[in-house]
Amino acid sequence: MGNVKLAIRTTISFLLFICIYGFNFSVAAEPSDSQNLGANTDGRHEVTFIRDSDYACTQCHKDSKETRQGTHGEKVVAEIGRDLKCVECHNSIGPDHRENPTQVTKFSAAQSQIGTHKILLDFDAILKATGNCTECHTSERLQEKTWVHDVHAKKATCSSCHMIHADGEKEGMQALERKAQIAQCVDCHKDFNLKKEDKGE
Amino acid sequence: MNTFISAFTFDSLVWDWIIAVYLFLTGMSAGMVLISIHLKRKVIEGKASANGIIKATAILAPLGIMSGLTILIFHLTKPLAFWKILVYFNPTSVMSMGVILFQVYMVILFTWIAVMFKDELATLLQKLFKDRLAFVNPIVDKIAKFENALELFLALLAVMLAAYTGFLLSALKSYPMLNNPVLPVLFIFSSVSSGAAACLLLGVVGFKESFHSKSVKWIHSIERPVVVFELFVLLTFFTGLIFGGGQKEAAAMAAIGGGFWASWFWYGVVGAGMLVPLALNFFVPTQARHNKAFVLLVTSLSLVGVLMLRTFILYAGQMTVV
Amino acid sequence: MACSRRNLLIGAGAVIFTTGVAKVAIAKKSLVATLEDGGKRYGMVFDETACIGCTACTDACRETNNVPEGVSRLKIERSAPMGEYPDVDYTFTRVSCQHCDNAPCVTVCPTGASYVDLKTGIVDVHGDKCVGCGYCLAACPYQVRFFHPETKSADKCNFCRDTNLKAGKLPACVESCPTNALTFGDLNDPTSEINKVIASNAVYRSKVELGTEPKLYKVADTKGEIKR
Repeated sequence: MGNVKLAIRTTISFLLFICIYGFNFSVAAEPSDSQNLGANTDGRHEVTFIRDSDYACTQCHKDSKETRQGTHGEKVVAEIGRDLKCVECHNSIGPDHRENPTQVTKFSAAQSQIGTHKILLDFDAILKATGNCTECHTSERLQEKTWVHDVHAKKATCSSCHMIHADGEKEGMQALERKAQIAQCVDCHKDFNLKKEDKGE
Repeated sequence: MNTFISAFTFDSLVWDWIIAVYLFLTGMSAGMVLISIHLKRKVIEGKASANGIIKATAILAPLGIMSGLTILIFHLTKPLAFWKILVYFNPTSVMSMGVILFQVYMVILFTWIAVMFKDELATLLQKLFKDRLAFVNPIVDKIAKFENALELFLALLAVMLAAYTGFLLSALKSYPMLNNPVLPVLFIFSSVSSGAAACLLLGVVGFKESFHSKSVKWIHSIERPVVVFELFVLLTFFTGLIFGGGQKEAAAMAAIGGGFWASWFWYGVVGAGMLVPLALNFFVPTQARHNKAFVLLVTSLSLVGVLMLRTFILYAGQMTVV
Repeated sequence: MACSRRNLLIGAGAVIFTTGVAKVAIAKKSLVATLEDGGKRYGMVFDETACIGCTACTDACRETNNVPEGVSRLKIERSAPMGEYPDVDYTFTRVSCQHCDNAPCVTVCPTGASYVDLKTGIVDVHGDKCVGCGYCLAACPYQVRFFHPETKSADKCNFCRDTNLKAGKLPACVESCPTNALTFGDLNDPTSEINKVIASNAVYRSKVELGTEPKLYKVADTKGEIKR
């Protein structure tokens, strides 16, 4: 008789133990349906964006977002977990940029153009212009890709050879065949030579 | 597996193992001929053509040369154009002069064999062609009168041939290990060593020449000095390279300092090819030595050792560029 | 022996005389000669300070001379990076036939297929005489020769002798270089541009201690050690 009592008591306490244990688990395993931004599981109100900062830009620069997706699209989202915003590169817009666009960061100014009348910016300006890019496209990764990046680090901006607002698969340096890529080197450097000859060196 | 592949394929390699085999066959043939000529002139009593060593040479020497040249022809990138190398020549090219040497050597070699075996030849011609080729016999008889001069000339040609392969490689300025004055000397000694081994192997095991015959005894008497000289020449070779400094020293250290080819050299060429036969000949009692299996073992080790030497020199030599 | 001492001496003298004369007679025709008297001696200067490593020369050579993929008459080798970001730099070397006046490849060729064109000083190959033995590939200390995958002959840069030079143009590499790093001309002509470049720059040639007398000069780069 005593054994039966013991058995029943043990069974009930065992069952109770399992219930409490399992319940804890189920509480902890609750998947939090938080977004990547501002995920908080402690029950506070989640803050969501209510303004798309790109909306204002794309009202005038209509297809820039699509063209940018060509080079900085899905892969970027996979890498950093979010899409890029226009203002991340084109910062310091200022209130008057529609009339007075000098404040907006433009990259064409620092670009090397083909032709003997090259605008050659000084090294610091170029490094400043490429500062945005090199945050993700680090110098080590660039060197791994090709040595050519090394020698142009402070002599040309990224946009001199690469097209950012473009379909990367079809346009720009990466889409070219090796022979065509070398033709780019030749075109630019030939002009340097002609420039030197003009100067009488 | 990777080290094996990279030891046999590298950027600066031009001549591969086929050339090593050819070098070995040429050396063996020249060595056999030199030994046989000495045996015939100074050691053998009676008819030379009855001697097992002479028979072995009569078969292996021409066979070795001809198979060596055949594989060489197929090694050319344009094998069908090989006749051009026989017709066009360049006196500054060791290879070109060697080709002429080969042609003369083969003619004299076959002539000498014909003269030595003229009775057997006559019988053979009679059996195969009845009297149609009988005119050959008086020609051979006439040449037989110059047998002495023929032998001396052939001996000279054999020495030149044994050294020729060394000169061929030492003309290459691009490889400091090969561009070496000691290489032809090394090759002469290794030719004699491989020739002796081949003579014994085929002569004793194949043609059943007696262990106690004067010829076999004479070959045994030169085996040990030849190997000792060979070891000394190897020492000179590598010491000279190391003392030379610069790329020569780098080439020597790359070859024998470590890696695949160093193991090949120390364990294969020196160990199995030279030291083990030396030790076996030294320590094994005479009774046990007079045994076909023993001769087979020692001569095979020697022959493999010489082949390994030629392969080593060729590959390790091409590893380092000047 | 039925030979008297007199006969022996006469015979030996005759042998020595004939071999000596024969050797000299043959030697004049086939030994490589330095052609400093008359005739052109084409050479090239490669300016390491001007080369940007774009390899446009390699591509131009391949196209002009129909060099198949997998082999190359001309290579540009890049050094290891020097310096730290953003001041990383490289030097470039040209690896191609040096057109030696005393070419080892000509010395060793058994058929005479490898030869020096006496009119121009260019080292070239008679494709029909070449049997493909590979001796010249092994003999070249600069390791610039290769077997052409289609013709199976030994091949290498020949200064566009049968392509551009024949048409009166400069070699393809010289024409295609965007920075004018290559100068081609006649070393025997004291007024030629190449001699001017050599005279006004510190130039060096590779492996001169081997006695090959190469004709490819290089203007040394100002960074790093000169690697001969």
